[in-house]
Amino acid sequence: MKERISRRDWEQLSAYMDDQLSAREQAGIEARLQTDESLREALDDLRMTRIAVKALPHLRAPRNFTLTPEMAEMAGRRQRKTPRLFSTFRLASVVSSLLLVMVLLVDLLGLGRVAMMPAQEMAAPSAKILEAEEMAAPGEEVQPMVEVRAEDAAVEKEAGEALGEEGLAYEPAADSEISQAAATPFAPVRVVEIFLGVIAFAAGVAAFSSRRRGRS
Amino acid sequence: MNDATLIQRARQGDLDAFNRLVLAYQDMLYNQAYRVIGEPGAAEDATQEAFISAYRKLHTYRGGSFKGWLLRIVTNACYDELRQRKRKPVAPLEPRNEDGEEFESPAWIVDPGESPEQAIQRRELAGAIQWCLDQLSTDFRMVVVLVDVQGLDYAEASQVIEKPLGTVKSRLARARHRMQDCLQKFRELLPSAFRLREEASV
Repeated sequence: MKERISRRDWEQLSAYMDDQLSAREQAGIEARLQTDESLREALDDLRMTRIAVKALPHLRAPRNFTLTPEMAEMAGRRQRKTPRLFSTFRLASVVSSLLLVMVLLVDLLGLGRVAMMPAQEMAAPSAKILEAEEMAAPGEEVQPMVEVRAEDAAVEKEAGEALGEEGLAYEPAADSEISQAAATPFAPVRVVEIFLGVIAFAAGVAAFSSRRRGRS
Repeated sequence: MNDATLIQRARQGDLDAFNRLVLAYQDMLYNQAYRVIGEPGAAEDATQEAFISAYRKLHTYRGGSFKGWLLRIVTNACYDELRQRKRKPVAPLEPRNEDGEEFESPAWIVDPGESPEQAIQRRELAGAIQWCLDQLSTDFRMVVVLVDVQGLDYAEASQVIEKPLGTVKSRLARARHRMQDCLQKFRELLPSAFRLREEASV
């Protein structure tokens, strides 16, 4: 019969037994107890369980737990040590988290693209300048960098026109190369992000555990 | 000398004053630890650790119920002790009494011709109840011991476990319901009124 008693009913009965219901809830459960036999049985059983638990003998401490001066001194040392450890770990966790957020923002906003590009790509423009310097005839002035870039752009435009639709695919292809470079797990920014993430997590766990140790 | 004076003196570094508080509350803390952990040695460790913590954190006590404040500390010590025991389990396979000895329960040994003495029966009943308590999850056990053994009301228990009143209410009801089911395994040990109810329902 008691199987149909819901979890909420058990809660109500248990609280009713301890006089922990509001006047309205109490009136409600009392009205139901008048008519519902299974609810009355459940209440009786709960009462008996409570009586059994309350009847557990009150044990005496098997020994005295008084503190010796050495124990008190040790407790004092732990008290001084714990807050320092906690604040150190907490500071480390906060600082590394902030740095991680900054690096992630730079990464997401694309400001760090240059930083993310592999060293080979980074070196490419300077190689181009050197090449231009070497090819320049003696006496000729080396073209400024802006002019080299303008020439490059013109060549690219021509190539684009010659290729027609394929030319349109050129720029996205270049972008995907960059994003591929960014996705490389060994890109410097990724390494920094992982490093900061690990530091933030480890310091957070250490701060939490030192706080818990301090509480107990 | 009352608690407030002793606490004040202990805060000023008077170890004797603190130790008088220890003597006044050690039975209560040991009971809490024993009923929650279920093993005498570990309960002693948790009690001692709780008093060391209490001495260390006495400056954080902001008035109110000193009993509740101490129970919160021993509750944390019990959780720590249970976490350590989880890493190195030492739980007995069969129910034991308060002295750590296995007790003969009708659930294991049925001898209808034997009528055990009342004192032995009481000890066995206590062992059975403790065994049922041990079967509860720590969170449930903690609440049922605070309310039904220590006699705290819901608000005090809520402060000790640092959870809302509704959580105490719900955990206590579920814990009692499970205890009720578990105790049916030890029907022969239960008071006669309890048995009559069960026999009537069969």
